[in-house]
Amino acid sequence: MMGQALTIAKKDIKTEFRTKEMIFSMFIFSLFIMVAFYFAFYFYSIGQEKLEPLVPPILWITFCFAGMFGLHTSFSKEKDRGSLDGLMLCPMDRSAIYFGKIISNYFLILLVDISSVIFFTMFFSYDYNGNIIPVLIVVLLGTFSFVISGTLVSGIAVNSRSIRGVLIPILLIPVILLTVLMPSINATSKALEGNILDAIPELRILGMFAVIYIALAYLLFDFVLEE
Amino acid sequence: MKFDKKMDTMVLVLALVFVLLAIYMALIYTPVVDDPGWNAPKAQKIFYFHVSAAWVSFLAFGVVFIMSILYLAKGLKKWDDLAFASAEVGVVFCTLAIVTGPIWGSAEWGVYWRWEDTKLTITFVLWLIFVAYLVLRGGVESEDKSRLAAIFGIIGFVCVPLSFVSSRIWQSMHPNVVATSEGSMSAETGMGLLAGVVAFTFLYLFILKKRLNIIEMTSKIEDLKEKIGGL
Amino acid sequence: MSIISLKSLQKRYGRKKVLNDLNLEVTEGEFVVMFGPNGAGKTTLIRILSTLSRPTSGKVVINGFDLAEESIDVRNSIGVLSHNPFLYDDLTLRENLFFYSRMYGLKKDEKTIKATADDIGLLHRLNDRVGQFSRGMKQRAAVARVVLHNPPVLLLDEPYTGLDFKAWGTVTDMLMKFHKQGKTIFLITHNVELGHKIGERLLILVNGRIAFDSKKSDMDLEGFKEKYHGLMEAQR
Repeated sequence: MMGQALTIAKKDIKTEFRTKEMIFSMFIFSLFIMVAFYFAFYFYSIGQEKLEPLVPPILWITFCFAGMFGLHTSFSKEKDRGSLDGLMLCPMDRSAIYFGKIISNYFLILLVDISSVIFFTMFFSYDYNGNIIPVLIVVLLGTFSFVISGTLVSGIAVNSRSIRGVLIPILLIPVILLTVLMPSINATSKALEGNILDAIPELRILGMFAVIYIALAYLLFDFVLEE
Repeated sequence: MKFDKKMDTMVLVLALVFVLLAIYMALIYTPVVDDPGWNAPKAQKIFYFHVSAAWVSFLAFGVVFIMSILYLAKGLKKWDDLAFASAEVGVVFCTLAIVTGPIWGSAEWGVYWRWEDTKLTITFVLWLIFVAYLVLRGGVESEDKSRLAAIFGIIGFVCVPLSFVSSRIWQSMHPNVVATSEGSMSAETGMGLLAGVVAFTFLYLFILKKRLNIIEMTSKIEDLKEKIGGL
Repeated sequence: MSIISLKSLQKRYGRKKVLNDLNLEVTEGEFVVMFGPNGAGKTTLIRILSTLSRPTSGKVVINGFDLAEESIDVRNSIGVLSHNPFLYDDLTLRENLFFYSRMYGLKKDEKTIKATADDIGLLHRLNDRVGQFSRGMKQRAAVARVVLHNPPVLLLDEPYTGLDFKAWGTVTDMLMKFHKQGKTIFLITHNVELGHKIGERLLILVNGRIAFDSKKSDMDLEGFKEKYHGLMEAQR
């Protein structure tokens, strides 16, 4: 099963780099959010000191919305072109489709997250005081939990024809609010203060949720696809 | 059918009796907190309704969770109807709980909402989840609706204990009104709370049953329409 | 020996019964053609047989595997072709074939992929993106995808929709070739003349029930057409 999941992920990433549909819109989207944040804070001529508590929320709100944009494309592309049926015909446990999508979504969303961090640093000329690596570690883990829950939820949302676009945020935000977003924001602010070890409780929670959501997806994903 | 009707009447009578009893218990029978630490001791009376409403909403969402599992396992429409009805009624009671909380908060704390209050915040997130559940049911047109709603009902409900775990990383502000300084509830307070919880539970059962009847009637009407060749 | 066996198969969408107590035995190597008016439940039946949709009740056995219990083995035994080719427009034909080979757990080397492409007459387009193909070429490529894992049963749901004359001929030729190889073929089509010409056994599905089941040899085209139109009226 893992072999097939990897094949699907490779296929997704290959087509994505060929068409650049999803990744391009995600890049532009995250850039625009950063621009919006920049102008929102511009008139307060915010300094490094005042900016510090705002860094985690700015980053995670950007990741979250740009990421949901990407999740939306990931399933709806397969669904609309009918190729989802082709995948479902393959002789394997159907959770392989879920795991394949997790891998490709994680890879693509992570690229966008990292570029968002770069946009942020450029716009606000923020100085991480050498704490950029701990922050990136938190981004790596938080995004993983986000993708795991988000892929499952977007598989549900893709079945709505009329309100598909808004359904992903509506379903996903309450689910991840306390389980992914809060711990990630907390952990990022601790990482910014320089001590990644302080953030271990949050990281542990993120890891735990990742495991629980994977288990839920393994149990429920057959039902997501099958009529 | 006759027995069913009798049960309905029974639940209604019990709900009415207990609601009256709960109002009496909460407003007259139970003592006003006499602790100088409280800013608005009389406002504390809302606690009997607040906790009862919160309890019923958790119960209702628990029912959604169990019915969703049953529906996925067995595929019977009645489990899905029950989950749907319970989610709707649960959202109403949950709204009651997250409205009464801030009413008390404004009297006691002077502010309506404290996000540090984990129990209230989690109840609010639970409310969001089940509002999303209802949006999902409205947004999927096809017959997949029941199946997808069941999946989301399970995921949403599992989130709640998880949220409690995650809330441990920030400090809780939720008042511990129930406990006295010795750490146990006074007998009167306990009785008042019990009356409230029982009353709201019967009220929930009654409304749930009525909602289910409406759902059943709607599908009967659809069947009849199909028979006469209408829409 | 029957290779597809349906016992009191039912499918309901909510209150609506789409398939109603369906019983059918298909013998190995048979070429079955199913006709039926729109909304009779043909596509639903194919989707159930190809494990894309779950039956409400009843038992389905394909190639000796129970659909409910051994769905992965069932999927290994069937090739499904519909009007949608299930290919990725942004990948080349070669990449598409390699992708599906890996998904079926096959070790395909360059040589077999080339031979397969040659079979469908698309060897020269192996490195072109499928998105640039015409409808007919896509459908020929889809035929190659369907038989990659050499399944004993082929399920075809209106494979002729939107095909040009040339592709039509190719698909028919390939079906006849697979039939000669001993594969069981289950075809759904609207086209009475074509179905009657190539099929061995003719079925008509009306209102989720099999209303007609006969060997072709017992029925000439005119008689069959009459029967079919009579049953079409029954659906309305």
